[in-house]
Amino acid sequence: MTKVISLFNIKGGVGKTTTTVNLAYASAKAGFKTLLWDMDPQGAASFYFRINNKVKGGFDGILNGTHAIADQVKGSDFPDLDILPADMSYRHMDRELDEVGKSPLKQMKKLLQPLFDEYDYVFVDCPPHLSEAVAAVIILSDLLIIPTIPTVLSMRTVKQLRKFISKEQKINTPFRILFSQVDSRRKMHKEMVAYFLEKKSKAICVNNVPVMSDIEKMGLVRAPIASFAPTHRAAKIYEGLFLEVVDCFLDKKLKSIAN
Amino acid sequence: MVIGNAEIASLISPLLFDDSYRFSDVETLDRFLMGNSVNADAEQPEISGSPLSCVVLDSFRAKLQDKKLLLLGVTCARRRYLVLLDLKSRRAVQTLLWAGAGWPKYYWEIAFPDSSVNSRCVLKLKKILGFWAIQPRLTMSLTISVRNQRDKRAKTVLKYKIFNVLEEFVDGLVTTEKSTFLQLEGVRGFDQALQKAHKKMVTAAIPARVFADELAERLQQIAAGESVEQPQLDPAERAGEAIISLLSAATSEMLAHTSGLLQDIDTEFLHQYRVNLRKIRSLLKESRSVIDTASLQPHLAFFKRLSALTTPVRDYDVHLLMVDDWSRRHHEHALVNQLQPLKQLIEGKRKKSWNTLVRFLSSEEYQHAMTAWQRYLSTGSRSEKPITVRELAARRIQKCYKDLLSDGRKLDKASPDEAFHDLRLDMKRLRYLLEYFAPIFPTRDYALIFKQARTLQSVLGDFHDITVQKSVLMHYADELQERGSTAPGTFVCLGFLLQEMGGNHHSLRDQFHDVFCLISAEENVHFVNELHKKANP
Repeated sequence: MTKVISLFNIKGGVGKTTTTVNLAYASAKAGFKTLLWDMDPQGAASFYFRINNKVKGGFDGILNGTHAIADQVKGSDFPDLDILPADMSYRHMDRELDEVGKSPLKQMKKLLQPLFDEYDYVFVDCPPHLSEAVAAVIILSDLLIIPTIPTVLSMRTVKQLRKFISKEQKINTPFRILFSQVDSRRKMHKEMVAYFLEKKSKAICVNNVPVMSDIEKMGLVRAPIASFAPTHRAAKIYEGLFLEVVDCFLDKKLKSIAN
Repeated sequence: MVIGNAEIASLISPLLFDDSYRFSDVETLDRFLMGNSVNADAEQPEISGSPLSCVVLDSFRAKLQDKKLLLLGVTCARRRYLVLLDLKSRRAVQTLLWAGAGWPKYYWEIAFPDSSVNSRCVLKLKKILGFWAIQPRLTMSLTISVRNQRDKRAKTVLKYKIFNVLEEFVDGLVTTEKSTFLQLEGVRGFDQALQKAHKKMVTAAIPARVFADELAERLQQIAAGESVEQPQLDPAERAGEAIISLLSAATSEMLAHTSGLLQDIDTEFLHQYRVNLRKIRSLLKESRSVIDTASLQPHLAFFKRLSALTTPVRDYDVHLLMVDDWSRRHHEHALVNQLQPLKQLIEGKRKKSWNTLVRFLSSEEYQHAMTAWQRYLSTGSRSEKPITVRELAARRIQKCYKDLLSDGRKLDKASPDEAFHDLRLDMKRLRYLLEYFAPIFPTRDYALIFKQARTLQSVLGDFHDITVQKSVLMHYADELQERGSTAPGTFVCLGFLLQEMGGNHHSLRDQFHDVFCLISAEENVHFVNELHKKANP
């Protein structure tokens, strides 16, 4: 059964796209049929896979059925990994959904479910704002990953976000906080990560992503880090992170066997 | 790198079953790719770090291929796999890791997983192979590479999967053949590139057949080289001529199995050699009235001697197969290893008889006798009796059937073993006659009586084997006891074997009664009489 994982944070530049791209690659590499939906109109994830951030007919075309969503999917250079590219029209998603009149959640479900069913894992790179469409996608997801930089302010934002999502939007999707861009030279980063890991909170991912110049190289090579530096520490971290994701979906019996 | 069974199957299946384009050589393909701006930096799929080697495993006369199965031995990254492919449904039905040294010699050495033991293809494979050895019939080494066609953004829009295959026939004449196959793999969302490439291929490549069909054809060639053409009997043909053509076919069959016999590939070669030898002797006996017997005496003596030399080897083969079969069936038994001294004893005896047989088969005497026999078949004088093969067949079948009924009706469950043995000889005669002349009488009733004859012969054969083997086992036990060093466990195992046979012996007597009732039924008597009346009006 397909598992949908959304990566979202209202703050920009926290590593959502990088994490999505590398997680999707790790999933495909493990042999799972994987789709990455670049929902962010900036199209950074599409860029990483050398795919033009353009969807024929725009979101409107997909929504009114003039262009089938399945026809918009592009194969990546890697086996079992497909991309649903970004498009500037995604900026108006809420308006388009509103014009149809039905509940955005129902419309998104009707639109996405048949496509998602083709895959084992679907990773969604969400834009950094909580629109109706993004909320619908999060509700449709089986897991929400919130990449965040381990600082007091970032954690405060996450806390506010969690409160808003669960109380105001009534979204109960399970979530995990992923510490991203962790700078081990900074005392606050170190202490913050150590504090949460010590608490053994289930909401925190065990793996965290450090600041690394090689991760930034992804933009030059335009590929996931594990594809051009498979033995690099960052590649191993994303691999471990993907295993954590898989672990979230294992049932209790399987978990005890695996352990 | 650990490669799973699924990866091996997914690597082999496309090569064998998917549509591909063929290029005369790698250079032509390279030129084509360069001309089409296909990225020169070749990408090696993980699986083909080193070239793969494949062996097509099949029996003598490629019986698996004949029934649309292909068994491949694949060596990849220092691991060995067995892949069973169904040529009908065009898919890999079973892939398993093979840890043994070399390749399996018999099907029972392959440990199919419990989930597939009763699958259609696995059961079919077991039935086809029986006691025939699995031999490497064709070897192939292949390298696989993938090249990407990229667009101006350097995005891969199409993949070219290239298989370089070097085939080698292992049988007879060693011939090699190089093939370069190209398969196009589209990338989702970039269909135009795939369509364009297909269009270009029409002029650039040689139209290729599905590789599995080519392999099957090669195996058919191998099988054809090992097969013997069966004679087409014309019912109106003069009996003498027809008998000679049947004898020639049996002789050719004998010779076809000689090489495998001398190489001691498996027990079936000797078995088939003997079957055809018996056919020749039996045909000569049944057709004394229509062929010139005066000049036959030296040949009859030669065949009798040949038969006498092959009998002990076959007997030891049967004993060894019996011991192996028992060991396999009782593999969990604590004493099963204790049968080793018995096995060694039989193997030693077999080796002696085998050497004597091989010496004879390699001797000039044998060569001369066979040449003389073949000369007789091609030029020997035939009787001028104006009798057709149909008349002769019906007459002999009726005579033999009557003998069988009169001897069989005298038997009951308490009859001695010797009486069953005598009936077995009658039965063998009838079965052979029915088999030789089956093409002359293509009717349902004939097929039915033939089937019943085979069943009865099988029951009587098993009965005889057990009678003989029981005393042979007792004899082996005496010999082992004389040696003095045999562990008591061996005798316990021998006891189990004897006990099991005793049980089968009784059940076979019961079975005989049922099967004999069928073959001696009134309809069959009527059918055989009618056969004779129609053929000899």
